Amino acid sequence: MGLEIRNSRPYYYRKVRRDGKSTSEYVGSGFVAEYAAVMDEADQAENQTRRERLQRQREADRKADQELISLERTLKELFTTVALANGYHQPKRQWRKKRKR
Amino acid sequence: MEKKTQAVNTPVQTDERKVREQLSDLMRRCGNPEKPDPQAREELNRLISREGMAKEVMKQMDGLYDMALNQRINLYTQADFMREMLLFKCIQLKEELGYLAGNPLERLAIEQIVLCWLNLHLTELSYSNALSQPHDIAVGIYWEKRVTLAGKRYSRALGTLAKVRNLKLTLQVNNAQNQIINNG
Repeated sequence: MGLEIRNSRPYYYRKVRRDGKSTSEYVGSGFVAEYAAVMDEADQAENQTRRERLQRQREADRKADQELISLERTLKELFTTVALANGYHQPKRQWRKKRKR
Repeated sequence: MEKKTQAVNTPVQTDERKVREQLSDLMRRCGNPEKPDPQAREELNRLISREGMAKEVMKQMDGLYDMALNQRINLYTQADFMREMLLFKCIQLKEELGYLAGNPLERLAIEQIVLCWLNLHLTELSYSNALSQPHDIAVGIYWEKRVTLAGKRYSRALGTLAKVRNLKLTLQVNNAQNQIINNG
């Protein structure tokens, strides 16, 4: 944390990233420093919780999607097999019935 | 010392692999537009109908759709009212698409449509819910992508049913003798 104690007095510096460099930004001293430090910590914890929740949701979404994709693939395979068995072919991504010679 | 594990092919796996190889070979021969191969077609028909390949696939897929549907609804909501309403809407959509009158292949296509419709619907709901709150750009892009993909999947599912009906593809299950007949 950016809370620094100098001569028994707290000073708070917020760490920010500007132009790819990490810099310290002075926030305040005394009560203001302690208050800002607590608030920043709470914000970070909230952000962390939100990130974790989002991560969990994305994982659940990904699993559900996988199931859908696998069902779609199986159906497509079955469709192709039945179409070919019925005498169709797919010359240019379009199913056509074969001419009888 | 490291113990090496060896892949062991059980008879069932070997049979399945053999059938898959045979199937892909027949499909390659049937799919050649320059050289129609009636013998390969006949073989493919035999493999599907008499050797019960389609029956196996149908058996595997049977119930998978219901499971996926319930899982998706449970993932979205725990409220009984909402769950019942979504299930009712799915059943209604199935009937509108002619589930009861369709052959097994059409039924599978309809199940896929219903699942994709539900997926699209729930994704759109989550999208509007997520974007109504303050959010960063990454969240916005994530939901945009999800909605687009769900829309495409739904269109593809509709396309499959349309193709099955246009080409008049049938795959009948003979319940009396527990057989599948492919009407080529």
